[in-house]
Amino acid sequence: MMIKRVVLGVFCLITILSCQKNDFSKEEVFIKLYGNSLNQEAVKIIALDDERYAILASSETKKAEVDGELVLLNKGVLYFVDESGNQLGNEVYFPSGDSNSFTPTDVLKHGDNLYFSGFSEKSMAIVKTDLNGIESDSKFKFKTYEKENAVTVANTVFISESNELIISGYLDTTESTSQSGGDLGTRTPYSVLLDITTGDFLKGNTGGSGAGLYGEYKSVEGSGTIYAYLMGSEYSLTDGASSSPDVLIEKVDPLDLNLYDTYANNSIVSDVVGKGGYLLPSKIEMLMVGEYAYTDKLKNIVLLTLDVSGDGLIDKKDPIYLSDEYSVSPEGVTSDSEGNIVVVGTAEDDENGDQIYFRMLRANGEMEDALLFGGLGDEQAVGVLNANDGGFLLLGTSGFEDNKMINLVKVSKDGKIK
Amino acid sequence: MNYRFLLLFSLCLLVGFLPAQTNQCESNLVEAQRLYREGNLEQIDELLLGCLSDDGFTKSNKADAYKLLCLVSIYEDDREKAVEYMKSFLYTDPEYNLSSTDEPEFVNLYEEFRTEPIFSLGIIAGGNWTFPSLLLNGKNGVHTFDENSNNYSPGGVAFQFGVKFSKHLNKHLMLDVDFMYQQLKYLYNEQFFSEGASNFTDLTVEETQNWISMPIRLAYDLNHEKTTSPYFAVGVTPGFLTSMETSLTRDYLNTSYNENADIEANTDDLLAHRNRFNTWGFLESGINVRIPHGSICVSARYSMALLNQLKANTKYNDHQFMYEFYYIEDDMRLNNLQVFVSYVYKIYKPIIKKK
Repeated sequence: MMIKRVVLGVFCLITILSCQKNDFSKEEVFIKLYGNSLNQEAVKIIALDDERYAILASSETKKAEVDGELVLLNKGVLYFVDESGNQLGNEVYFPSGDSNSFTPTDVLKHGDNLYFSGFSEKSMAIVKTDLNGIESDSKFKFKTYEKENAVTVANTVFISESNELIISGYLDTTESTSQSGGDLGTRTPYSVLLDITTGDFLKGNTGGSGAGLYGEYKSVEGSGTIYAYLMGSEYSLTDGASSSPDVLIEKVDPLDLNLYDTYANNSIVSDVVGKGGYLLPSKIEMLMVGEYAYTDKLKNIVLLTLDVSGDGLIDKKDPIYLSDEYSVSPEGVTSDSEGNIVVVGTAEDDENGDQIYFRMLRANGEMEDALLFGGLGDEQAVGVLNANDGGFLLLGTSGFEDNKMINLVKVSKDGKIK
Repeated sequence: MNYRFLLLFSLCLLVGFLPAQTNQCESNLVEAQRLYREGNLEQIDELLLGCLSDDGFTKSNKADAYKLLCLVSIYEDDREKAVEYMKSFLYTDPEYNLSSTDEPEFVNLYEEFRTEPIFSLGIIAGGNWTFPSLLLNGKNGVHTFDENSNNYSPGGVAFQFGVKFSKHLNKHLMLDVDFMYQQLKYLYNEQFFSEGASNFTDLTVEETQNWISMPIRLAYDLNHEKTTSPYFAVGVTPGFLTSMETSLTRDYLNTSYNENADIEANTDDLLAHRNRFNTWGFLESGINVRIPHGSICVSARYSMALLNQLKANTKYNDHQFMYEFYYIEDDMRLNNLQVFVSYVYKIYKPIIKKK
């Protein structure tokens, strides 16, 4: 009888313990890829009002087949995804037309429309679609903006206070027809103002602090319609070729591109290139990340917190240096409601190829360990977005063998992927 | 030479003597049964005891002799002897089934005895099919999908074998403990990244797991007196995952735009992602075919895992599978259907049951 009781007891105990051990995480994190056999490179992710996210990427598309060889054409492509990263419907390619090449660089949601900046051949270009990526406005078709003797390259698109579209980027005045820029001293920040209803060209301005500037304009996430905080890297200052390279941050009125202030921190050990920024919701402080030479071989991240509440000078807090055992190039920065700061970038990993890098700096100053995402191919981060549930969406491009795909990683609000 | 002759002579004597003795004892048994029917009980002991002590009966006759002696003792009102002869009878024929011609006094005494086996030892072997059951709607994966469950299937027939110990609680109920080696196999296959009418790539993952398990089972035999009898059982199977291997193959379905080679890997790295201890609850049904001193059983068992096979916080640990094979493990239970054949040898120890 005793044996029967013991066996029955063990039987029940195993069953109860087994049921209690089930532990399924409720928090939604994920790693997703989007793409196909043609190369696609991520550009930006934005949140839409209906709990969708739109992922913008540059994509190869098949134009024709000539003598057995494929002729490819670059287009913009939009993927719509839900909170779990699952794709909603088919991806949408734009602009329409077999001859319109377009490499997108930024997207802006304004009202019920999306505006895409980019470049086509040697020109800045813009595309307008509805919130489903359809070019439905017959008055505002795909447009390009050329400038004589220069290549115009778009970086960002935003709206002025007087409701005009601004595309900012740079002018490349070398003889090269390359889109990737030319020699030092020939890249000049440049913006165009456009009619928001038709996309017609209104005005073009070269910006920056004056002669000798080498850099480009990039807007800062969250800067909205009030200011565009533009930044660039400066290689040759007005006093001549002997000046040290340094980071240059400009606070500019987008209408006339007047320069209010620059930020140059000469205490930084070597070259610093501005990479990304985030205007905190208070509009008082702005986070910026730059890349600096950590050692002779390693690049790393410098995090700047700037007080931008005044109309004039920018107040600077002491920079924070995030050093790691591998080289990291930052690509984006953001902050959550608790004051934690998140930086994403691309880490060079000799063993596993480039990886997407994520690091959280707690509001209390504690630094979490970095997370790396990627396989043996090369992954490139392009930015970070605060998800609706408090987590973070990391966007990048995943390269494996000859194929590039879009990579979206969601980490939890405490900076984990578990 | 002399030794050889002596040995041959002894063998001939033995071969010639044994049938002669058996025939004599058989005659004694027939005579004893006749005397019993005539009510002449005094000479029965004398006729049978000599043959029993000399081992002159066949097994069947020996049982009949003990039964007769038991009956004689009952009628002589010698309970002590009757109990002893009943015990000897049951040791000789432990699987005796009472018949309607048995005398009530004999039946009464028989029923005072524990006549079911005290335990059984056996071997068990068979095959199984694994049916992964997804948790959290199977929403894991680098690609987009609504539901992943259709992509899993049994990866062919796996096998299991082991040894079996059974404790007979009564004539109908039996408690079993098995010690098993069990293999589980499953297959995952999906094509994804749509390109209009076709897909970009095809992924196949085959996993084989090796478990040591200890099924504990409570079985109810519907008709223990018949040669063939159905039974039902419930139980739990605690198990320990000893090793596993995962084979991944990703093929490119469209190579128009690139010339990527298909990629393959065999790895045991995912063992670190598994709950090494798991438990299954199961329902089982089968047929018992009784043979002398044992039974052969053919059965089917459906086992439902109580635990997720995936250890918490591990699915995103190994990026090679995600970024190269486009594979993320799902949270799931490995349910399985087993069919097996077992043979058990029954061990009896008839004693008077405690009241």
